[in-house]
Amino acid sequence: MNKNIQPLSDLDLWPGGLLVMDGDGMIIKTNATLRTWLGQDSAAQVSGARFVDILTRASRIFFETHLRPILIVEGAFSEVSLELERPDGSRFGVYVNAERPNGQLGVAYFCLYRNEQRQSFERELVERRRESDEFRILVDSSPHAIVSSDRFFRIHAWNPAAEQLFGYSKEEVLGQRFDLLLIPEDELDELHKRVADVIAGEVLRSETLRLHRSGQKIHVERSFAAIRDENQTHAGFVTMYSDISERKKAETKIETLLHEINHRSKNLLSIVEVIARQTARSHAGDEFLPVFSNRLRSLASNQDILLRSGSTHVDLEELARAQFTHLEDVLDTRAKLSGPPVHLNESVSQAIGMAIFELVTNTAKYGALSQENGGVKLTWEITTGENPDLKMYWLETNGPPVTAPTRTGFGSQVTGLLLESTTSGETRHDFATDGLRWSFTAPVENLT
Amino acid sequence: MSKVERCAVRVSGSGETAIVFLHGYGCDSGMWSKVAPDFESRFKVITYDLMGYGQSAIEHYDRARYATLDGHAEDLIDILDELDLSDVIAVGHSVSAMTIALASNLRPDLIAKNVMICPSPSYMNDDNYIGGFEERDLLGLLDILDVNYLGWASDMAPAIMGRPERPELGEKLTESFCQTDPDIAKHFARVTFLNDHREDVKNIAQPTLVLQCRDDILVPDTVRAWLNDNLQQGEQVLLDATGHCPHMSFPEQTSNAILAYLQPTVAR
Repeated sequence: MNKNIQPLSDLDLWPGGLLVMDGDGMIIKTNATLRTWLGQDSAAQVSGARFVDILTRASRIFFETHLRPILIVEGAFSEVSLELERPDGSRFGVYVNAERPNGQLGVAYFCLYRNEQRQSFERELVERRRESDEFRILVDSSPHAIVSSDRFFRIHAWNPAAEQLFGYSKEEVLGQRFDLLLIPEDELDELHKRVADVIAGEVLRSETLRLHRSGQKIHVERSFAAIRDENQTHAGFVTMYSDISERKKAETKIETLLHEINHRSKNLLSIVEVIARQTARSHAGDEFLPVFSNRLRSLASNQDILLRSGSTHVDLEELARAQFTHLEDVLDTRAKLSGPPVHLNESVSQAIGMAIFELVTNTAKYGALSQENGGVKLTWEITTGENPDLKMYWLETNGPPVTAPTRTGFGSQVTGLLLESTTSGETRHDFATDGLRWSFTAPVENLT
Repeated sequence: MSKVERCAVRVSGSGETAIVFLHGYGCDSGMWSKVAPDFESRFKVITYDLMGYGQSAIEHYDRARYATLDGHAEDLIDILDELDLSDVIAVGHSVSAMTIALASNLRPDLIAKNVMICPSPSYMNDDNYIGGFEERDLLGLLDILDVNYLGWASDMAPAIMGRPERPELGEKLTESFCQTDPDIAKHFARVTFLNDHREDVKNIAQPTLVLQCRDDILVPDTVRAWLNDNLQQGEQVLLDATGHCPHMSFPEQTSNAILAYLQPTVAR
């Protein structure tokens, strides 16, 4: 042993804090360095205090609940980060090593090192950890599917929304290539062409189709970006998908509706043109306008029924009742309607509606309903058999004597030829003297 | 998996009466190693690890269930039921003193007597009560837990950082005393320090021994006074001991105080 080495004597000169604590937790020795740190000049100030008195309150809880038990059971602990508090309330961080020497129950020796710089680094790390916890929760709770991969498209993160959207569990996809898994084959080339742009910093956003586990294609809005590490080196990709299938469905529906409105408007205008032409032929001058308006009103009520039903199908009874709107007081008393439920398509409902309107208008003016005791029955049935027909009957009773018309006006057209051509059906007018009888037969398959 | 297995229950000793020991916040059932043997000649002794600590099956740590001490109280009840015990003496240290209080109120048939070591019904100060701590102290504790679980504090370094995909790490954890998953440690810290059990303590009908230390930074004088005034059948004993863990620092005194209190039971 080298004789020049002296035994240690002046621990006060050491650049570390030293402390001895007895079994009751009281400080019995300190060195000058620690006292200086604590802003206390004399040893007497510190000795006689408890060790926990030089700790912040949070550090006290930690010491009593974790460190003291460890010291008792294990005999030592090391590199524990604690905060010390000076009498004036200011604080500083230390690392603490402690040991209970053999055989000395209760007495413990402490070494303390100032570690402000490392402690600020630690706080930063804690902050980062909390941020990353927050970020993880954000990703896990996102309604959007979030998938991240390495540079080779191998999936390393797959959130619950991705499980929901694509049908694969996280365990199934980790390590798999997301391009092969999710992208339809015909789009792969396109994607691979754009990868260089993405690595260069571009974020691809588009509406596209991706593959569900079932093989079905789903509409998604996708953003695709590169991940870079702190050295700006390309490390992988992150892709976010939003499920837009509901929106796509709605868009398709709107488009169909627009087409349909266009189609219906054109139809309606041609019908108006026909009505105008036919009405003008038999009602000239001042007579024209009231007759024309009445006929348009029938058209309008059909249109209302179509809109109300919210679909392109109209119930026959509802349609027939609508034609009596200007004769509501006789409906269900002198005018009786009955028949099974029949759903008519749009163009047929217009034709039948107008035919009934003409019959109603005619009977109110000249037929059974123009008399106090006159009555009308409108009935219909569906025949049985392989190709069923709809049969409708109009029967007037107790009206004035009937005479067959001498010319073919609009009324005859809509209750005859027009209706027949729309439905491929047949109509019959029987001008019996005790009341008009009209019937209409057409294959159900042409009507619904 | 039974509760007895989940909480790593150990049964030793023999006697007609059973005594169950619940460790407090921060550690595990290893805390009782110097005290429990003193009871083995006269009692059936039960120790176990609270869910989330020691050798408990921490994969069953359900944050909703253990968001209050009720989850831990139900565990105690389940364990006593599974072991087919009744009229047990329940010993709870620190926060677990409140767990045995809850279980005593829920199932008076199971627990005949309570022993509370360094208990506090509520750690937080409020208008009419000095528990000794403010919420910022708890937040500071959470910071310290975080910093010391980062990795280089070898004694506090958790062997597991909440990585369910590597369960083999969880096994190492249990080899070291007083270590647990840092997220569980923080979760249980909130449960311990933010809940107020004053009403539960007032409702305890069983005879209850309260052991306190002279100098316990977690239990100020005001709390001891509150317990004196509010325990129906309480007997408070001030040990000639300091700190918050007399069963570790002063095991003989602690055992003697408990045995003296239980003497009538022992003599029977």
